[in-house]
This record gives sequence, C-alpha cells and structure tokens, in this order.
Amino acid sequence: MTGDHGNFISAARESVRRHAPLLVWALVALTVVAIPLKIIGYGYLPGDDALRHAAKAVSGKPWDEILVLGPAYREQYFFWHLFLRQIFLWSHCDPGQLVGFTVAGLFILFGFSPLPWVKRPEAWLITLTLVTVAGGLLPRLMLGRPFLLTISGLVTILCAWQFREPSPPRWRTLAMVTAISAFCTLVHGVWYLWALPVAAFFLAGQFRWGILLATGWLAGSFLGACLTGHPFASLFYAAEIGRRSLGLHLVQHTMATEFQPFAGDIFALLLVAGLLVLRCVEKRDPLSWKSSPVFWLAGLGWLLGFKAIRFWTDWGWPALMVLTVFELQLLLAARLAANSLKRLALAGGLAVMTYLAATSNNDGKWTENLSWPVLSQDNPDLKGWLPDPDGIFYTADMTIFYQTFFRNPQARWRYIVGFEPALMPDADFAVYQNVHWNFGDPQAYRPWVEKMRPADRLIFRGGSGAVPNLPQLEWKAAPGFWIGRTPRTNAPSAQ
Amino acid sequence: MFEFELPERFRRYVPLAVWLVVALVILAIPLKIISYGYLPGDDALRHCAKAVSGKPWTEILVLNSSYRLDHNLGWHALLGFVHRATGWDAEGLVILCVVGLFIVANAALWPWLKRPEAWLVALLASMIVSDLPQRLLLGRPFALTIAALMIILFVAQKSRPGRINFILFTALITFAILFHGVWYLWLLPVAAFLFAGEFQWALLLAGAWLAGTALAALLTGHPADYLSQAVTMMVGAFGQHATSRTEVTEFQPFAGDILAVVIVGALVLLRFFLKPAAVPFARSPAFWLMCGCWMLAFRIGRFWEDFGWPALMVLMVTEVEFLFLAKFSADSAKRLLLTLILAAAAFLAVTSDWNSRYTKNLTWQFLSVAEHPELEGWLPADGGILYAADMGIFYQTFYKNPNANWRYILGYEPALMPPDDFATYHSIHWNNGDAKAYLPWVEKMKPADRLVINGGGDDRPNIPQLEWFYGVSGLWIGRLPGNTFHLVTPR
Repeated sequence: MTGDHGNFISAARESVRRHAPLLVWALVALTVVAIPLKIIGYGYLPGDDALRHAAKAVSGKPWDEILVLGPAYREQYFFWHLFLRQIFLWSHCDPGQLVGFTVAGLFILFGFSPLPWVKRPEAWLITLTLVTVAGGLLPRLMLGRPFLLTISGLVTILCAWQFREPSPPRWRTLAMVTAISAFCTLVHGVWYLWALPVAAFFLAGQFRWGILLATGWLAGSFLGACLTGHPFASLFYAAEIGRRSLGLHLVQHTMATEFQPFAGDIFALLLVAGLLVLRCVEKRDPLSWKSSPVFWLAGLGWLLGFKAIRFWTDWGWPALMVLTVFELQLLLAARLAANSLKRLALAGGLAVMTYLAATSNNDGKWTENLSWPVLSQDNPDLKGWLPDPDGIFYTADMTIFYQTFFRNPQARWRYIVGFEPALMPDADFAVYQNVHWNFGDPQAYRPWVEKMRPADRLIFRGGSGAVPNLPQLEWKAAPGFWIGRTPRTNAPSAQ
Repeated sequence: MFEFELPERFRRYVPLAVWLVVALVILAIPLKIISYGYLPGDDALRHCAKAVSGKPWTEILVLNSSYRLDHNLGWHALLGFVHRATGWDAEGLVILCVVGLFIVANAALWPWLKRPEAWLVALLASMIVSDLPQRLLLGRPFALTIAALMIILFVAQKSRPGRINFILFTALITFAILFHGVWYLWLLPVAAFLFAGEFQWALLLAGAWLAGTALAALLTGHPADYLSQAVTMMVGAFGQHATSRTEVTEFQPFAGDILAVVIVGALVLLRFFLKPAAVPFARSPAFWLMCGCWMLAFRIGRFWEDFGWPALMVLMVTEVEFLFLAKFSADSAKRLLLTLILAAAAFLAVTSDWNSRYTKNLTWQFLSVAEHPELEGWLPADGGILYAADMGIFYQTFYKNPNANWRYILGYEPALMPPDDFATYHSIHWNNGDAKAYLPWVEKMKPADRLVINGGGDDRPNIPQLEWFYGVSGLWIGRLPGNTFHLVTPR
C-alpha cells in the first residue's frame, strides 16, 4: 500500500515535472488575460482617445460633423474606426463595451507579443511587475489606443533580434518586419517614428539587421499607406500632424500632456543600474550592451523623453522591457531547470504577484472614471443647457470632449477642441493656446464668448464656488461643470 | 559603432575635441534656457534692480533697526559697475547673472579634471535627481560660494597642502564672502576636513577662512558691520518664526532626498566593482561634508542644497573620472563618442522645460504702469509703501520699477522688517493668507500706500475698508477709499 502510494506520488510529481514548461506557459498566458479583465471588471474606462474612437465608431459620422476643424485635417485612423464600426454593427454593443474590448484586446496583444521569443516566460511576469511598480507604465498600457499595436510590433521585432542574436537576419524576418510596419502604419499612422529603432540598430553596429529593418520599414510604410487609398497624402499628413502638434505651441505647458517632456524617470535608471549589477554579479560583461539595439533604443527614447515624454513611454520603455526580460531569462535559466517544480512554484508566485500588482486599485486609478461628472442629453436637469442642434460646444479641456462625446455619440453639436488642438481653425487655436498660456483665466475665453450664438455653449470644469468671471453669459452649475450660454429672457443668471 | 577607431593622425585631437564639446554644452545650456524667455523667480531680480536703482536698501525697503549694511555689498557693487559701464537695464543684468554664474559653477573644476566629460555625468545625475542645476540658474551669488567650495574639496583630493593652495583657498573664500556674505558657513568644510582626519588641510582651510573673511570684510570698508550683519540676519531669519512653515521656502527642512542617498549607494557599488586607487570615503572631506549637511538639512534645507549637493557632485566627478580613466584611453574614438552622448543627454536634460520650469515667468504680469497703463493711480504714490505678504510681489515689482519712489514693507528677508510688521506678516502666513490677518496693515495705511494680495479675478479680498482693483492677472490692489488719484473702474 505504502509502496503504491509512494509510486503514485512519484508518478504524479514526474507528470507535473514533465508538464512544468507547459504549465508555466499557461500561468503566464492566464495572468496576461486576467489582468485587463479584472481591471475592466472594476468599471474602468480610460480617460482619452479610446473613448472618442469608440464613440466615433458608434456615431458613424465623419470627424467634420463632430469637430470644428481647420484646413489641416485628414482622417488618420480610418482603418481603426472601420474595424470598431464593424464590431459595433455586428454586436450592437454600447460604447462602453467597445472601449472594454479595445482595452482588453490591445493589452492582451501587447502582453503576448514577446512570448513566442522567450524561453522563460515567467521573466515577462517579473518585467510586467517592475513596469507597474517602478515605471507606472501600466495605466498607459490600459489606454486601449492603437499606439499599443505599434508598441506590440516593436516588442516583437526587438524580441526577434534578441532571439536570433548573433545570427544574421533571414528573408522571413524581412517579411515579418514589412507586415508589422504596414499594419502599424495603416492602423496607427506614425510611420516616421520607426526611424528610431532603425537608428538604434545602426548605433549598435548591427548593420545587416539595420538595413533589413530600414527596408522593411520603408516597404511596410508604403504598403500600409497604399491600403488607406491615399498613399502619399496619408504619409505626408502623418508627418504634418506631428509637426503641427509640437510646432504650433510656444511653450510646452500648452501641449497635450503626452507631448510634454519628462523629468528623467529615475526609477527606470535604477532598473538599468540593477540589471548592470546583475550582470556584474553573474560575471557577464556589462559593456556588451553597447552592441544591443534594444539598449540603444531605450537610451534614445530616454534622451528624447526630455523633449516629449512619448518617446520614452512608447519607444524607450518597451525597449527597456525587452532588455529586462532577456536579462532575467538568463538569470532564471542559470538557476532553475526548465522542468523543475521550483520553477513552477516560482511562476505561480510570480503570476499572483503580477496579477495583484497590476490590478491593485491604489489611488483609485482604475475607478476614477466612476465618479466622473457627466454631461448627457438624457439628463433632464440639463435640458436647454447643452448645445442645440448644429451648435458648438466650446471648451479648452480635451477631457470634456472625450467624456461628452463618449456619452453623446449621436448628439448633433460639434466640439471646438477635439483630440488634437493642432486640428482647430487657426483663430480658435490661438484662443485655446491663450487660455492655457494664462492657466485657464476666464478672460482668455473672451474671443469665443464674443462669437457664441444662441445654439452654442461654453463649458468649464467646476460647478461649485464662484461663477466664472464672464458676465456676458448666463451660467448654470451642473455637477462638476459650469455651463454658459448667451442670455435668454426669463432665464436665471446662475443656479 | 563602439569598435570604430580613428586613424592615428586624428587621435591626438580627441582630448581637445572632448574639451570643446564639454565647454560648448556648458555654454549652450544657459543660452538655450535664456532663449525661452526665462527669468529666475527671486533674488537675482532684486540684485539687478538694486544695481540699476543705485539706491541703498533703506530707500527701497521699510527696515528695522538691526539693519546696518547690505550683506551682498560686493555683488551689488560689481553689478552696479557693469550697469554703469554697459548701460544694461535690469533684464540685461539678470541674463548676465544667469548665464555667467551657471558657467562659473559648471566650469569651476575643469582646470583640475583629466576627464572633463565626468562633469557632464555629475551634471546629468544632479539634474535628474535634484534641483541643483536649476538653482545654479537662479543667477544668485551663492553659485560663487558653491564654485569655491567644489574647487577646495576637489583640489584637496588631488594635491598636498602648501603655500599655493593656501593662497588659492584664501582668494576663493575672499571672493565668496565679498559677493555672497555668509562667512560663518565656511565652518562646515573646515569641520568636514577634521572629521576626515585631514588635519593639515583643516588647519590650512581654517587659516584661509579666517584670512579670507578678514580680507573680504576689509574690502567692504565696514569690516565689523559686514561680519555682524550677516550673523544678525541669520539669527533673525531663523529665530523669529514659530514654525518652519512661515519661513522662506529654502530655509525650510527637507525630507531626506532619498534619491541622493541612492546615488551614494551607487558610488559605493562602483567602488566595490572597480576598486579604484582613490582615498576611501571615510578619509574624504567631501563625503563628510555631504553627510553633515544631509543631517543638518533636516533643520534647514539650504545646508543640503548649497553645501551637501556640491560635495556629492565632487564625489561623483571623482568616482566617474576614475571609471573613465580605467575604461577609456584619452585619445580613443570611444571616449569622443561617449562625450557626445553625454553632452546631448546633459543638454536635453537641463534645457528640458519640464513642468514649465523655465517658462512659468512668461505668464507673469508685472505691476508696472509702463506695461499696464490702467494701473495709473493704483501703484503707491511718492513716499508710499507697498504692503504685501508675498516676497514674489516685491521681487517682480522692484525688478520692473527699480527707480520708483515708494518702499516695500517686505523685501528679500522678513527678518529685516520692523517687529510689528513682521508680526503682521507672520500672522498672515500662520493663517494661510486669511484676509483678516492683514488688518494691522490696513489700519495704518495712508493714501499713498497700497496693499497687494494674490488672488484670481473671482476672489476679491474680503477687506471692505479698501477699494479694490484687479490690477493684473492674479493680483488685487487695494487702496484707501476716496483716493485723490484718478480712479480706474474695477473690472
């Protein structure tokens, strides 16, 4: 009996051991899937573009019926909106569910992007935890925006290089790079930023890979642009909108937050220092990083982050994540056999740690949106205080656009500022810039007040305290907002 | 890329090229920042306005009886000389101070550095971790004290005590005290040399300190007053406040600057792995000065910013220079490439306008009739007093009106105010700016006086005894009602 029992335990242990690699894979995959589902389960909504992408898909309208646009405008995300529109038409979901789908789908895509290339996927869990704890990057990875496709493509290419290093690239790799570049150009648009990884490969002295990447990038960008139906115009427009978004502003504090510079992200530097110490302890040459394009891209992204933080968050951090995962993989491979029970136990522990760290709702970061004040046509208290059909919704706060358009995708008014101030008509952009230049001083809104018609409304965040100092309008305090309109007879001046 | 080597005939130019790159970047940084339209927020404005006005402080501020002498006498004399020689206005002088002092502080160690690119590492690290480089852009003479301190700490590591070093140290301390004033703080580095067991150096530095102090005091022409005024100011600045909250920001305690501690940890690790032939930290006066100031900063933050961080930068430069000497030959392409990368990183990091740190001032609106004609009648009349509890109002208004014939109740140091006015000032800050705390000033205001309070256009101060005008964005001006000066209708 004892012998049978002992044999059974031994056989079970052997079976678990044999399946340990598969179980580790399953644990990692499960964690990557569970994280966004849990976060969406809180009722989380991202604060910016994902809302307008979903609302746009639901509305079915072109942007010029939604925004007051200047002459610089062209649709940049038509494929993404087409995709979301088809999902909406097929599923009849509401905008919130569509946002949940993009948040979860894009995070899972990103979370799986390095897995085909790593032998120890549990290293990815450690990396995700580090990014959550030290980098504070996780909320960005949960924004449900198409830039996550670009990041996933970048991680895939960098991992492919790490996986094949030091072998020369193959034709298959060129096909993969071209396909990724084409898809990213089609969906996300900013084709020119792929010059950064190309430069990183050349700086690292990986010339054959650099030439391959450059070729794949150029071919893919053109292919992606061709698929939009306007190959040259779409390529030109993507560069032009980038130029306008950064170049129209006199100072950085009037730009969108993600175009402002960062302060150096000391915790990322500490992570790099930690990896270096690890190399020294493991008696590996720390200077061998100089021939790693992944390291160079992280460095380039960090440097350029002093101009605009997106270089760091969208290019530098993903590269640093790839660097980290392959460093940790070496450590894990040296310490634990692939089929050991210790490895399985460690992976289990890491999965729990990553899940808890990522889904932790500290500072209410995943539930902040639950208490957002809402301007909705369905609210009877707001009757007469939202813009009339064909009216204009004046505000200098882009978050008001995102949230209001998301709640009212079918409304028949237009917004003066949408997802990019550089798309506004020049005169309105000047007012917008002046408002931000003066840190929201109500007097800076005067040009808008002077041209407001009865159908238009001017909206401020607030709703408590003093009425905005613009006596030309009559004001209503809605929860979280002040709404101003041109005076009506028999209407109270402020409520 | 890093394996690339230069042809032999070009290699000898690498050290020169490195020097040029480092010098260029240190020059380019303040010029780039000035090109944003940057103005520092505090003392540089009043130093330059004082130089332009040519008036003594007694004609600019309402002062108490403890005031005897300008404690920045040498600095104002120098700026006054530049103003007279060049005709530059206050703005021109501020630009000169910002650019000049940043360069002086960042070039101070160059003559003793074998690898000047090591300075770029220290500058980059301090920019990311602390606000020291930003402080060096304030255009204030403490940058001279910092430069002198770093030279002394670095030279003491690289050479032996002797007559030449005594003369050098005496000259440095003389200049620092003549321009900056706080002679007594040099006791700190002397103590650091003693703690490090460098008794000969401690003796030499103590001698240089005493000689330099005496020399600087004699050069002012009022030796006893100059030295005693500095001590009186210090006692007043710290002794009169019931809590640190009401003190000037830079005198308030710090929270421990954990990232600086991490940097020290990194330096220790670097030593562990490289095992350089440098003096151990326990024998390093820079290390002891840094530790001492880190502790003292829990009382007063400036110990850390003006003495502790510069000592840490000296430690960083020393360690990084050892690393570079060990890893890169002087004439290698690798060294040049690394320098170029460091120069780009330092330039981008320091000139980055993160959090609008260099452009906040572009939205300042000054109380100046020349810029805002609608203020006519709303600024103090001749002989009047401008009452305000915000030192920023003094700095900016004096900067724009250096020749105005009014005085300010609050200037650059609350401890210089008459006791009853200091009590009012203290009460205002104690009560977080409550309007009722201004009443003692309101009660003694004359028609020529004005009270200026920060606040948005919707926040008229609750002081009905005065009539109010929202003068410029963010500032309310109050005056006695029935003023004979012509009145502009409030917006």
